[in-house]
Amino acid sequence: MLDAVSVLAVLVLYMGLLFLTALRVERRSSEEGRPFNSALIYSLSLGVYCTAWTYYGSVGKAVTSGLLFLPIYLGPTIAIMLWWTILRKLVRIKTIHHITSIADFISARYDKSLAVGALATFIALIGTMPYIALQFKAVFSTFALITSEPGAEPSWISSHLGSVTVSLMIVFTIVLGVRRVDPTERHPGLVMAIAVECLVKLVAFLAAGIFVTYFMFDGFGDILARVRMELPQHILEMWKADQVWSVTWMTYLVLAMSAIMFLPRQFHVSVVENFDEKHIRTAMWVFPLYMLLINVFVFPIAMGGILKGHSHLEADTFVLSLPLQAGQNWLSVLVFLGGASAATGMIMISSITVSTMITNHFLLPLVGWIPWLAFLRRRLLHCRWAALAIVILSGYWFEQAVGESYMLVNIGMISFAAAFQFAPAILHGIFWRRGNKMGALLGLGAGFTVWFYTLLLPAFVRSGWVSYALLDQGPFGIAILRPERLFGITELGPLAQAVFWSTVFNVGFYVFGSLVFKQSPTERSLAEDFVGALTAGPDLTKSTHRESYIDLASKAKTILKVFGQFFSEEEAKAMTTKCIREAGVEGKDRISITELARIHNEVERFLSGSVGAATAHRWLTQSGLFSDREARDLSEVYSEILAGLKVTPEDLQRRIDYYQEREALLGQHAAELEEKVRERTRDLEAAQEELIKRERLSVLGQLTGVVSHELRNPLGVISFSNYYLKRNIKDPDEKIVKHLDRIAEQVGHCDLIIDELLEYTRGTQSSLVRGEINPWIEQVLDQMAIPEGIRVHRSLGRSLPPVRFDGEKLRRVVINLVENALQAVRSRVEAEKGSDYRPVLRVATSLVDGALCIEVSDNGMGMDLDTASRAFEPLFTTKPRGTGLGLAVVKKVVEEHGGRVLLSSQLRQGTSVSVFLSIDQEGNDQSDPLHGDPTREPV
Amino acid sequence: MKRLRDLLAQREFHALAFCFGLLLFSWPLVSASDLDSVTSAFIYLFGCWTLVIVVQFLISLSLNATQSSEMRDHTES
Repeated sequence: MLDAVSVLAVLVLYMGLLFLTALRVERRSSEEGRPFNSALIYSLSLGVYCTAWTYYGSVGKAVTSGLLFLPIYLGPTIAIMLWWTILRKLVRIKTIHHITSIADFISARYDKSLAVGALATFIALIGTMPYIALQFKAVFSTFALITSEPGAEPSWISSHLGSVTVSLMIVFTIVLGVRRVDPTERHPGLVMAIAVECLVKLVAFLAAGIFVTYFMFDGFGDILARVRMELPQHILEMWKADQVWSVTWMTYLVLAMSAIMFLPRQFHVSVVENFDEKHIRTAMWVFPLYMLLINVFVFPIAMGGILKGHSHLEADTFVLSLPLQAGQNWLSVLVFLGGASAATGMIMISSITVSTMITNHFLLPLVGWIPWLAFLRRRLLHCRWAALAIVILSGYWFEQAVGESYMLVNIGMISFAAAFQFAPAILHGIFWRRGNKMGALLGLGAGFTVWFYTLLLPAFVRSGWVSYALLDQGPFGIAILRPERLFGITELGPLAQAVFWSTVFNVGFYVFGSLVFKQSPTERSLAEDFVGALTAGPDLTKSTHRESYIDLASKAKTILKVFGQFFSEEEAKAMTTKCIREAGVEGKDRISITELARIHNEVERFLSGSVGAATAHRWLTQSGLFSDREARDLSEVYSEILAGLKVTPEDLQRRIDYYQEREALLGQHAAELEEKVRERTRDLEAAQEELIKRERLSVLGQLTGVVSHELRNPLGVISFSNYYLKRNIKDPDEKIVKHLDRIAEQVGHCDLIIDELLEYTRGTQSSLVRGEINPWIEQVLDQMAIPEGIRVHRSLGRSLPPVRFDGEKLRRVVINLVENALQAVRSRVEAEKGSDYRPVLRVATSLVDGALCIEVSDNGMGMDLDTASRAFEPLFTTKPRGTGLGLAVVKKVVEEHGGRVLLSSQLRQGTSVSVFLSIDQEGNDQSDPLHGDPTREPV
Repeated sequence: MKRLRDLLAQREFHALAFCFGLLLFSWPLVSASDLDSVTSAFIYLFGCWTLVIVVQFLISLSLNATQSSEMRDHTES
C-alpha cells in the first residue's frame, strides 16, 4: 500500500502542474489574440469521452460481458466518418451564432425559445449529475484502494478526501473555466489541461496494459490461449446469460454514436471549444486512434485479472489492483493519476457546460420574469460560480447518498440514453428546414418522459427507492405499462426497449409537431441559417450602397444599456466599443442600415456568448435598437439579398415567383403610370400652348379690330380727300400729281395691312366651292400687276381634278405667295445690280400623290435655314415694312382647306412654296395630301 | 492519385464508409457470445478498427489536400 499523504501530494502536485500549464496557455492565447491550441490538442481533448467509468469500467464490463465494452468506442469511430459534414456544420453554426452549450444550440435553432432551452438544460442536468457522482466514486474508491489495507480503517486523509477533492475541483474549474464571462465561451487553458489529462490517462492505461500483458503474462497470444483453457465456467455462463447480446451490442453502438457528439461535455469540447474547423480533419483519425490505443489492453487486463484468480466483483479495479499487488507502486500511482485525470476532466467540462446552461436557460429567464431578481443580471459571473459549485456539490452529495446503488453503477448508459434524446432535435435541426419549435418541444418532452419512465425509474426501483411492484405489475397493476416491458415488448431487454421507445416517441412527436404547427418568420430564417450553414451565404457587409443616416452615438447608448443589464459599467463600455470596432464602424458619426445590422449581430453574438442565444435575443428585441424606419430599411436590404439565400427548390421558386411577380407588377404599374404622366403632360402642354395661342390671337384680334376701326376712318377720309384734290386741282404740276398718287398708294398699303391683320386674327367662315383650279389661278395672276423685267412662268397641269376651295381666301394665298416671290427677286436684283441675273417666277399646278399642288417658286434671294424655319410664324418678318402675317395667313387659310403648305428655300438660289389641297373625288375627300410623299420635307 | 483523393474527400464517400463501418462492426458479432468466437472476434474487431482508422487518416489527408488546392485555385483566380 502507498502512503495517503504521498499519493495526495502527488495528486495535488499533478493538479498544480496542470493548473500552471493551463494558465500559461491562457496567457499566451491572450497575448496572441487567438486560442493557443493545435489540432492535436483539440483531438486529445476529445478524449474526455473516456471517463473514469470507461477507464475502470471497461475492464469490469469485459469481465462480465466479454467484448460488450467495445461498442462504446466503436460507435464513435464509425460516427466520426460523418464529422466533416455534421461536426463541421455544428462548429460553423456555433461560430456564427456564438453558441455556448448544447441547450443553447437547440434553443437557438428553434426560434431562440426559452422553453426549448430550459427543457434541454433540465435533461442535461438530470443526465449529468449522477455521472459526476460516478466520477467522484471512482476517485475516492481508487484512492482508498491504493492507500488502505483491505478491511483496515480508512485514514484521516481518505475520510476527508471528498471535501478536499470537491474544493479543489470547484476552485480549479472556476479559475480555468469560469474566471470571467467570456463571450466566446472558449477556454484554451482548460482545453490544454484536458488534453494533458487525456494523454496521462492513455499513457497510464497503456503502461498498466503492457505490464499486465507482457510482464505478468507472455503477451496477447499467451493470454488468449490461456483464456481458452482456463477461463472459469461461471464467467462463460455470465456471458451467455445475456440472451439479447446482439441487440445490446447494437444499442450500445447507436448510443455511443450519438454520445460522442451529443453528451453535453462532448458537445462543449468538440463544438464550443473548437476555433478552427481544420482541426476536425486531424481529430477524425487521431481520436479513433486514441480510443483504439486505450482499449487495446482492456481485454487482456480483464482476462489477466480473472486468470490470476481475482473475483469478477473486483473487475472494475483490475487496472489498478494488478500493478499494485505486483508491487509496482509508481505504476499504481500513475494509473491512479490516469483515473483521476479521467474523472476530473469529465467533472470540469460537465460542470462548466451545465452551469452555463443553468444560468442562461434557468436563471436569466427567471430574472426576466421576476423584477426583484434583476440585480442578479449584474452578478452573472458570480451566479455562474454558484451554479458550478452547486453542480459539483450535488454530484458529490449524490455519490455520498447513493454511492453503491444500482443506478450509479449503471448511470453511464443511462446518461448516454439521455444524451440520445438530443439527437433528433439537433440532426433534424441542421438538415430539415421544416423542423420547428413545437416539434422540438414535443419531441424532447416525449423522449425525455419515456427515457425517465423506462430507464431512470427502473434504476430507482432497483436502488430500492421505489417499490418493485412497479416493475413487476406496472403502474396501478397495468401490465402493459411495465417500465422495462413497455407495450408488451420483452425481447429487447431493458436498455434496448427504452432506447427504442424513447426514439419512437421523440422522433414521432418531433415530426408530428413540425408538420402540424407553423414556423414563425424568424424561425424560418434561423432554419435556413442552420441547414445552409456550410454553403456560402449572401454577404451583407458588401451592401455599402445604403445611405448613412443613423446616429451611431444614440445606438451606442442603447447597446451600452443592454450590456449594462448584465455587466458592470466598465465592462459594458468595453463590450460596446468592441462590438462597434468589430462591426467596422469605429470613428464614424453616422452609419448605414447594413452597418447597424452588423453591430446588432456583434452585440447579439457577444451577449449570446455570455447569456445564451434565447436571452440575448429577447433583450435585444426589447432594447429597441432598430426604429420602425430602420427595421423597414433592413427588411428591404434582406429583400434585395433574398435571391442569394439557399432555400429548398420549392421555397426558392415560390419566393422568386413572389418577388418577380411583385417586381413585374410594380414595374408594369410604374411604366403605365409614367406613360400616363407623359401623355397627360403632352396633352397639358398642347392645351396650354393652344390656350396661349388662342389668348394671344384673341387679344390680337380684339386689338386689331379696334385699331383697324380707328385707322380705317382716317384712311377713308385721307383717301376721299386725296381723290377730291386730284379731281379739283386745276393744272396740277407733275410733282403734285406724284405726291397725290403716293398718298393713294400708301393708303392702299395700309388697307392691305389691315385686311391681313383682320384675316389672320378674326378669320371668317370659309365657303368651299367645288371647281377647277387652273382657270381660277389664271384669272388671279392676270389681275396682278407684275413689274416689268420679271418673267412669270405659268406651268399649269393638264386634266387636274376639281377641288373644293374658297376662291376669295385662296386668292389671298396666291397673291401673298406671288408678292413674296416678287419681293424676293426684287431684293436679289438690287443685291446683284450689274450682273446678268434674270428674275423669274414660276407658278405651277400639278397632281402629287393624289393631292393638288399649287407651287409658287422664284429664283430670288432665298432664305437661310433659321429664317425658313420661322417663316410661318405670325409677326415674323425680315422686310423693313412687312407685317409678318403674309405666310401665317397662307398657312392658316390652307389648313382651313384641310391642306398643308411646305416651304423649301436656299439662300441666293430661290424659294419654293407648295400648297397641297386634297382632291374632292366623291365630293367629300379630305385625306392627308402629304401622306406617302417622302421626297418633300417641311422646313 | 488525384482521383482517389477526390473520392476520399467526397461527403458521399464518407456516408458510404459510415455504412460500411456499421456493417463491419455488426454482423459477425451475433454469434460472438461464446468463447471461441470471442478470441477470433477480438482479433477481427481490432483488425477492422485499425482498417477504419487508416481510411479515416486517408480521408483526413485528402481533405487537407483538397482544401489546399481549392485555396490555391481561389488565390490564383
